Amino acid sequence: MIRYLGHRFLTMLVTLLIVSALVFWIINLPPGDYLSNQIAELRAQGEAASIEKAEFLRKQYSLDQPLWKQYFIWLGAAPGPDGYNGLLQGDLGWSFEFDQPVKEVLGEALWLTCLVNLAALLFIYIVSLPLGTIAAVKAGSWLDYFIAIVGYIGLATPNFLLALILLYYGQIYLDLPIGGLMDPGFEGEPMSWAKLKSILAHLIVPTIVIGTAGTAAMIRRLRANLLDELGKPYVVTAKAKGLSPTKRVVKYPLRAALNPFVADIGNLLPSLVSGSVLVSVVLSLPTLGPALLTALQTQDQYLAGFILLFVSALTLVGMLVSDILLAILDPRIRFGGRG
Amino acid sequence: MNEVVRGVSLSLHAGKTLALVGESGSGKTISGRALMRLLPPKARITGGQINYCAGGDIVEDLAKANDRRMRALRGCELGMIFQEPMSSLSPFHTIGAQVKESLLLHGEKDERTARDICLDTFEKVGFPNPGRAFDSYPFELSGGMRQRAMIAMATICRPSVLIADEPTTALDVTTQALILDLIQKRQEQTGMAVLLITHDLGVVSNIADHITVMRKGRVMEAGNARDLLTDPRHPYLKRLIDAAPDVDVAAAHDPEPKSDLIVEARNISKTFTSRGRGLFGVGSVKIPALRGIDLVIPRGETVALVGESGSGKSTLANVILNAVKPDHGAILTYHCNETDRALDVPSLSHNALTRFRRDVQIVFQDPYASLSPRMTVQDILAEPLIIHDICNASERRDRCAAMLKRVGLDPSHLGRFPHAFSGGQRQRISIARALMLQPKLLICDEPTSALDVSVQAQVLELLNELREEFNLSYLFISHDLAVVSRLADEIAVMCRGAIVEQAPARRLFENPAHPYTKALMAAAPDPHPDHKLDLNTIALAAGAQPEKWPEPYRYDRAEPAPLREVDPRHFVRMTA
Repeated sequence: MIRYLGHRFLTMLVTLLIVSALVFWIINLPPGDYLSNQIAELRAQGEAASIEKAEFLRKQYSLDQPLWKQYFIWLGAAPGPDGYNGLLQGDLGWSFEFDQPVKEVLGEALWLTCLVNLAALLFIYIVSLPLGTIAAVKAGSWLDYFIAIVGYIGLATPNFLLALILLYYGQIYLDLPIGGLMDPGFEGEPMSWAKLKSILAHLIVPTIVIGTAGTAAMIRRLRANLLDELGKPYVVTAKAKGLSPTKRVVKYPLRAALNPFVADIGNLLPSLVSGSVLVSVVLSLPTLGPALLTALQTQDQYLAGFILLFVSALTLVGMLVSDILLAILDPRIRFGGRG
Repeated sequence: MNEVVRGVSLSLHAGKTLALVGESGSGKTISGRALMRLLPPKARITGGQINYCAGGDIVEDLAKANDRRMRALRGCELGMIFQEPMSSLSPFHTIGAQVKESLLLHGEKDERTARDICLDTFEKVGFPNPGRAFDSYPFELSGGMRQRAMIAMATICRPSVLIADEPTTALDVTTQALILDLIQKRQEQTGMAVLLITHDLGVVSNIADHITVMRKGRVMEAGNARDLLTDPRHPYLKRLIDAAPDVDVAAAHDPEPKSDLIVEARNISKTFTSRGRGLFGVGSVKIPALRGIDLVIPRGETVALVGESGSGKSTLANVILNAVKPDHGAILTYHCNETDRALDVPSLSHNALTRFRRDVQIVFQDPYASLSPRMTVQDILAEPLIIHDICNASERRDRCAAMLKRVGLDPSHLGRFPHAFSGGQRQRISIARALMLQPKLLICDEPTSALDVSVQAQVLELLNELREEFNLSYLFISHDLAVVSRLADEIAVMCRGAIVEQAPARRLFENPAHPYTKALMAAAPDPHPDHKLDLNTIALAAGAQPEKWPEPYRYDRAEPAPLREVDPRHFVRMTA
């Protein structure tokens, strides 16, 4: 098991390295960079001092170097003007658009993004597990159809529309706060009980909005998988032992149907993160979404590069988690080499 | 509503075995499951009683018992084992956990005691190492061991009734013999009544005290086992007994040696590499599937490969079909005509390979899986002609109709889909498809093992006729010596990738030398009640473990003993 984990972790690092190269290459595909665009603009306006600063920044951030060298400097595997100073050393680079280090720009957004998406993920699993199971066990009953209808509505409603509707009614009937992830008063404050409560209250609507589509899809998948498993001979064996109906379903077929359920964590995470970009803009959530949008529009390459890399890392971690869970859940995977 | 079973009466007595016999679709499984109320969701018991006597004079009608009561009885007083032990056990739980569950469900409170009872039962059902079996998962055990685990699970609470639904059908013959013996032993230990559901009269004669014969949901004949088997009254039972395969030594072939060979295979080995778990395939394991096979198929004759699952028969067929490349050093040649130049099969060019495929065709085991459910019979039969671009549409239609007629089906059924046909009819369609290209060599991979016995005989007869009519040569693969005896000229017995004995059919049946061949012969059940299984002979070679065979046949798996010619053209693998 430990060897397996080590192996998986190593391949994950290699993948991340390849992803970083791809990300860097794709961001630099459009001609020019943020500074050359700006220099051209400044030159048109004749501002010499600013041009000098821009030229300085160009040197400072090695934008005058060939692309492959820029990549290694960004990574921290080659010396830049200030020596080794890249991702590996913990320096995330400079955001030109915000005129601040990337670290400062993103700040709390990093862990808030993780928080929002983790909450959405949990929401998906907590809601779809019982609903999918009920839909499969009661297949063809009114309950099954009801769950299907609710699911399809969730799948078909655009996220941002749902966000607006929920915000409106949440505010009117439940007194839920609108927009943001915490009361403006808590921003930049150290963590406290009141701040946590504020965050949790703000989290309700975004979680539901980001999670609905995934939940609906997951219910359908779980239902289909479980229906297949319910017809297997080992379910009859369990019945022949004298197991009660609930235990019979939960202990045997549900266990088998959980496999694809768990394996989906890796796939869900990136779709959640990218799906939440629009929702974040609508709900004005201080997550990575809006920052990514700006960065991509303005060719702010270090900011965009880091965000994309961060999302990839999140995905890879999700896949690692699902692989580990699968190995724990399914002995056939654990002992694949033994039998 | 469709009535599947009507007016069936059975009586089970403590310590006795009742065999419920019938072909597929006779309603025997449904009747057996009705006793435990384990019917599929759509099925209903519409009438009748299931009287269960728990001892004393208390009689309870299970057909009216509530679900709670049924749950208390299932697994405790009523145990059941199924045909496919792999899919009947959950792959997610250890054998021990699954067997122990029965105990814990029915009153046992203490985990430790439950484990001890499990280990004791495992030992009784023949696990060499009960502790290890307790912690293994079903996929780590062989088929026979899985069925032993099922038997342990069904009988651990010492039920008064055990329902065994085709418990040995999915197993090799030698394993089957041992499992039947085990069921009898368990019956002696617990005094339970056994309801054995089977299609195989050979199995019945070995362990049944009473027999009930079913057909199309009704009882045809019932009574004492010995009486029924020696003196069947109902024509259906008579027919079943006649169709039961047995080896007719006198009728077996003993052809003259021939020099005109259609396929010549020398030194065929095939090693598969299972992927290792290391980073770059480190720790990969080489698994030898075939070792140094020499086999020739004389033109116009039938060579049979006999062996249990995993012996390498199908791999050899795939090598000859050029679907799998043999290891380096193999020589495999195909002779289209006696006078033509020999073709080296593994190195055929693209065009020559296409030509070769027309000459060599295969009939598969499973008539349900080998025909596409989305194609009509016409499409299925015409496809080979279209692929090889042989004739125009109207001629194709004529050829398909003629071939369908030849294999015994109505040409007007060309437009139907495979699901409209029975298993035997589908196998006829498969044979027709294989013959559409007028091949010279037909490989039959267990063509009758998925069929009922009465149908099996007809399909074998058809294959026999077709061989003469179309000048075919057969490579016939089977696990069943009785099936093979009807049409083989030469028989090669395979075990663990090597041929252990080879001889012309009659000589092999008259004078089998190798313990594995003897075990295979002894393990084939015979419907006659006086011919019981000879367990000692079977046990000598069961499990196909060469290192456990007696001298001089014993050898290490890494280094098989050489084949020696003990009689003219009769080869046996032995050391001296």
